[in-house]
Amino acid sequence: MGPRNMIILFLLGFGLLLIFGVTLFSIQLSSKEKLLREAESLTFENEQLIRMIDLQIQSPNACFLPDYELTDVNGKVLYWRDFEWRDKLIFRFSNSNCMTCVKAQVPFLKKVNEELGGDKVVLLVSYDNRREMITMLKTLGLNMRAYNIKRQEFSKDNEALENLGLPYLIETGKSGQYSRVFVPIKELPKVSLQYYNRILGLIDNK
Amino acid sequence: MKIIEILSYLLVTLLCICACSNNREKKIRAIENRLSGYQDIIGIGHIKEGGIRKATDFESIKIPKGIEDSVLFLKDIIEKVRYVKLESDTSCLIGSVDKLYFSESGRIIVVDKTKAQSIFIFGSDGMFINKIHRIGRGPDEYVEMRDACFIDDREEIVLYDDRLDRCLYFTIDGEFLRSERVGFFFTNFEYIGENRFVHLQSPQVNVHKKSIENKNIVVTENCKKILASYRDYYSPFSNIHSFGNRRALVNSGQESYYTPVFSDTVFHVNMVSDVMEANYCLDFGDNGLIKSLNKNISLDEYFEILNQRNLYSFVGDNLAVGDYVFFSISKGGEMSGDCAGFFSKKTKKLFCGMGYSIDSCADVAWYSFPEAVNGDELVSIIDPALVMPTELAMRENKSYLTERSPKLSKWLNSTTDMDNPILMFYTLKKF
Repeated sequence: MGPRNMIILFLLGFGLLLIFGVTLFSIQLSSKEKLLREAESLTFENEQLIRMIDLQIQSPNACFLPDYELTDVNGKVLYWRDFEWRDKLIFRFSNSNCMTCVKAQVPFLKKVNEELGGDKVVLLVSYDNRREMITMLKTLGLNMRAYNIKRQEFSKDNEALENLGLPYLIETGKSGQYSRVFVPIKELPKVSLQYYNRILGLIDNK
Repeated sequence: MKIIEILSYLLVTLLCICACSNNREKKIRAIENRLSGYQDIIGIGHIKEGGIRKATDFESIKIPKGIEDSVLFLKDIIEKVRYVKLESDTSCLIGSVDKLYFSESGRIIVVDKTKAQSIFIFGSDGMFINKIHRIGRGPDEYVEMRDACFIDDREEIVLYDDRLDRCLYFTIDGEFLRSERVGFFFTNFEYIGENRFVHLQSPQVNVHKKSIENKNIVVTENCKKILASYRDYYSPFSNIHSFGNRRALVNSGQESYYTPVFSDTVFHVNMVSDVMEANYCLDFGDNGLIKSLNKNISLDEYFEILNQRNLYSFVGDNLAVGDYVFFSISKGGEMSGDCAGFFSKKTKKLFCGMGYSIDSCADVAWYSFPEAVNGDELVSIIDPALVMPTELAMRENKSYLTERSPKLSKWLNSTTDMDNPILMFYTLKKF
């Protein structure tokens, strides 16, 4: 057998291995497992992001948030200091986020509010005007406490998060400061479920 | 021995192709399952490949270099103005006006797909008539309104739900008529007459129908049978794909216009001749964003240049009324509205300049460029929430620059930020 034939045989073998390998891999990765694998990688990515943002939260500027101006659904202008922000779950979204991404969190948020009391979830939104905000909340079926905040002002202190272009959740600690941040991805509801289960105390609160 | 050699090479190549095409096949199968029976809906016949040509009266509109140094005084070109205040009530609160249609029977149809996911129907006097808002999975309900349009000759409203893959038809007064399945995905659509619709679609989504997969425009009969497809999706940049124009497909009264992404050309979508005609193009000279960029530019570099706001871009904000065309352009960014122009195709005259200035007519230009067409009228939207802060400041400083119509003054004095918009209809002077 000449070297040329050896090369041909090698290529043939390699091709066969490639096709069998891909097929075998595809069979092994059933859709459920594939989702879990994606979820794991996303959880990892989310954790990296949270770590990055945690670092930002620990910075002195973020600890002492400015006294943001807020508008409630009745048009009343209020300030950040007027509220009790301790132990809350803030759901943050704006008119630049995709509606489907926001919608995907609605059932989870409703459940959290139902089980942990009406004041647990606070919506912090940025819409051009009150009419837009109210229409959006109505469409989403969210009737929790909601405040409109000027996006540019809020973005200054939460740049890393706001630049993601995704809705996100902020947990506040006992002192009212940010304690944890989570960025839900609509394609991976299992990861979100895991997160909300932790909020509900159904899984280990680490 | 030679034959074995050739066969072996062929086999290896085949195996490699099989391995690589696995994902695409999976995607096709998934779509075929979701849209099962789609062949019967879109038809199994040959889909015509529509042509593109320049219209006989094609115009290249030269945009002056210092366009931003002048102000567009709309009061100079507006002939008649009338206002219609849309009724405001908690049951008919509009989040955003995404599309506006006007029927011959005197209905104003407001499509709000981004906020309220509803269609609001008002009378010609602005009184609220009905609202289409049926979220759910029932036969007359929708999960997600991707787009909606108005069939003017049948006076029907059609709504596309891309989650349940169907179109819902309603009467002009919002009563449900029927639901029909669709056999392909699209992002926007408009009615162009004779039961034909023009659809805008994203590339590589409709992988189950290869002949339309990379096309940008598809024409159907009643949103079902695909008749023709037009223009391959094209990007002049090797590293930038899957971009879309915010206003790639616009309705302008009874006509529709298409502006492809990375293009400054506006096409008139008239499928009677099966040829899409380029109506006009905007010539920015050295100031145009697309022509000034390197073909190998990366996405990050593209956005960096865009944010420098030195070059002009056009994302399809245009309307046509009679012999006049309207367009608005921006210096960088995706949002239109920095500058605008009105061009007469007859006299070749162009009125253009910055849109928002304290010196311009406060009744008109200050608040909104036209966003729809009703017969020979252009329609602008005066949004109280946007206008009120300025109005209050102006009232305080007594700095009205133009005489207000008593009706508008009365409305503006009594309006709140929770009120629905006031529509402003106006005709153009001959220029």
